[in-house]
Amino acid sequence: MYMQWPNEQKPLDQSSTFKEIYSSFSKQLPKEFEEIVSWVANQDGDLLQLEEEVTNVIGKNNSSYLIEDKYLFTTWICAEALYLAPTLNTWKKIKSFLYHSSVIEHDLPSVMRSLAESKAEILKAYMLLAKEAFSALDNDTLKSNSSHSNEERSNYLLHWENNNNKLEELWWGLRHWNEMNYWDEYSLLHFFSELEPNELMTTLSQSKNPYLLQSLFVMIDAGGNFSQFHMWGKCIAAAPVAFEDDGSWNGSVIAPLLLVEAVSRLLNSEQDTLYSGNLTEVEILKKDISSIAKNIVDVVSKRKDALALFSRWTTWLMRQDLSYSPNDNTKAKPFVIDILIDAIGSKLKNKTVIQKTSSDAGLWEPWCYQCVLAYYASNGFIDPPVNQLFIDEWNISIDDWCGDKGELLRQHASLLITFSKDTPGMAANLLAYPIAQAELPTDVWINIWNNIYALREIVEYGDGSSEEYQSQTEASNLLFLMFRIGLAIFDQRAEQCKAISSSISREQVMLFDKLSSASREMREIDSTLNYDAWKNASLHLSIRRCIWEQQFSKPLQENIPCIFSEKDTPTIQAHLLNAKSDVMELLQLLQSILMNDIDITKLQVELDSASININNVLDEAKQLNQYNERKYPVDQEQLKIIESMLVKAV
Amino acid sequence: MKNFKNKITISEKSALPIPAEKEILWAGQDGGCGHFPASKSNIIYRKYAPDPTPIYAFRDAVIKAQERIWMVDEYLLVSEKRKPNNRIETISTWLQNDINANDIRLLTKHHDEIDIDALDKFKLRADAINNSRPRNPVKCNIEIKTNLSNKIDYLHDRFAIIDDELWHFGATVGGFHSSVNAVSRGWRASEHGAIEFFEFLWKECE
Repeated sequence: MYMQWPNEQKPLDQSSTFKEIYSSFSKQLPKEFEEIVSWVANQDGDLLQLEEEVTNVIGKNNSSYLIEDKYLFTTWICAEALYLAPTLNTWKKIKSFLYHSSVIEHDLPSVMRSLAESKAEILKAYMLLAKEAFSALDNDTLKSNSSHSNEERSNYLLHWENNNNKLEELWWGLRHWNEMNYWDEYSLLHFFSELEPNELMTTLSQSKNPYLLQSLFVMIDAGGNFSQFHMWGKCIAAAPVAFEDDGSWNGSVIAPLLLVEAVSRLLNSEQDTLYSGNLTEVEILKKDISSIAKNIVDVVSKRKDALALFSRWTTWLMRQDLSYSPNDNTKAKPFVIDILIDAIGSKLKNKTVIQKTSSDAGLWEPWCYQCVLAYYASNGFIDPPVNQLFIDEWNISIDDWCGDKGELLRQHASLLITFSKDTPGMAANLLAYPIAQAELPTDVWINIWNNIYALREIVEYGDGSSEEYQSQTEASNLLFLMFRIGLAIFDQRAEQCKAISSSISREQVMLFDKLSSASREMREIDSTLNYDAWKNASLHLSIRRCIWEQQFSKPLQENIPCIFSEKDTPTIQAHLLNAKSDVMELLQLLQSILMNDIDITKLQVELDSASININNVLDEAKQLNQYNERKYPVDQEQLKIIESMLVKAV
Repeated sequence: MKNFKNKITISEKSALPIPAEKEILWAGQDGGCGHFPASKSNIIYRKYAPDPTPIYAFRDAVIKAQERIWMVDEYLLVSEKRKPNNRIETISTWLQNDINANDIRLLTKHHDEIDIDALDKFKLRADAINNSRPRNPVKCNIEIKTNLSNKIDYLHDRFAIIDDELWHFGATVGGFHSSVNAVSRGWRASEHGAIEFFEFLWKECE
């Protein structure tokens, strides 16, 4: 099957018009034509002088076609001069003309192309000159006529040299770089698209300048064959090896740039359709993207460095994926990323995947890669990853906190903490997966939680540093992440609980008890901005306690986990009593319970046993709201729902 | 990502209220109003005022904030009159001991005329707020980052988020600028991605 990018179009034959003009021109060229070409190639002179020469010729010949196409005639002279003397000196002269004439700048690529197509030796001359120009750009001996462009190149290259996360910068797509910076060279460099992919990759691999390479890709992509998917495939297959067996990056920028280009094309097409397309169009696009993603991964998987490349690329893709929250309704989560991750996963079946990130990886990578491996394991692509290193990182003392070990733990967790807006959330679920799959997950989690008492000490008393609040917040963030991992373990194992007397259900009750005491303790000691997060954690626990109690859920519901007996602690009544002291918290809890399809009469019994009168609760909420609506916001619709479901049920 | 979908539904906390109507306010020496300056004399009066008055509606929103006060503006703490301490003093006075908001973050750029001692006033303010309410379960934290323009070169507009209300400023946040400038308010920040965007900027400036 012939694969195409979404919205791929046939390359435009921009030179066809010029070919027609050329055939009529070439039959009636004035005798002075060669003299002017030679003048451009061999003499110094500016655009004004060239225009003067052209005007003289037109005057002498009094030819109407020359008068009409004066600028095209001038452009023609430039293109011929480049063939007559294909040197960088001639090119620099022509570039100075282009800099002062947008008409010549616009027409020159097409005129050069029609000349190149008329004679093989012209094409050969242009190709050699293009390669020479590329080398000169790479060693910075061929400058732009614009000082701003030159300054921009120098600044970005300096930034690149000093950048310690070069691969990450490539994955970002060289942020803020103006791809059009090298556009002065377009007339010449677009001839690179004539090279066979193997030769192109060999030529480009001489350069380590990612900015030049990215701009070059844009130039050869503009309307030529290289905008076609099959050419991209040939290039990525021929691109130099970029990753070593352990996953470390060898500094070759071409393969990562081509991958970024592929993702960018898919994302752009997705965005266009999501904004303008209807549901059917979106579905069709999804199928197209799935198919292309599979092809991209097929081609990449044939590379010598495929496994290593996948280990680094999927880590980046996972980072992108985790940065979207399922509750975030302001931006659509791109399905391209998911599809690519899945396509790569299916290629890893029966392969020995790299288990840990290489030494050159960024500090955010080890835990993101752990998430990748866990995700693939959860889909049956690979075995669950070994996560002892991850668990060991949490074994931390107060002395460790101020040293390298503490810094490493904070750095490894930093990104996932920033991304985590939901509870337990995707990242916590993925980090939890290997633990949940191992033996005695409850014991493992409780051990980790007990071992991180130093973090709780820091949250409560600080670490004695001048930035005490920051340390307290960082320790609190880590504790909350570990809490969410515990909750994720609980959730993942819940579906295996079919009877309350089973050993797994009893283990789950033990884990739940520890999670509950952990959240209570944190609400006592945590005065950072995470205080509300711990309140929310209690709410999550309360809901689970209610809906997964055998007698509480509506009868005849299938696949409801059966974990708690009525007497398991903390009881539903205890949860209601805990929330009772804060009427707003109690309302949110009741609302949440009602949203999870439980037996209302049984909830009423629990409310009665906790001496909670729903009318009083509603009245108190309304009074508080009237007293200060900013401090005690109330959603009137929510109140009505509670009123209709609970008050009427009394 | 097919796995690990959360099957449990949790009710969202009731959203903090924002004004029922969106509003546009022009800065003026009377504390701002809903129409352009009525006369040239009003414009001149403000233009040459030694200390241009902020928009009172914004000041009041800050004073009454319940959770969050976030501001992004390269020139938040320094005025065109070049008296940075005045600006810091003014904003500090909005953060009184009885303020309820605990999450106060100002994102601005470095100015040579503002030294660390001047910025320390905010830290002292946070200490005073926390000392005045030892029983409050959450500490008030006032954080200022002054590397906005070092890290971010693509931000043009200035904005503030007070609780869940987005304020969009034509000039300095707070309406301190002496030239004719306006602010619009009443946008729900969480619906417009403002909270995520601010957090993104904050993270980028680490």
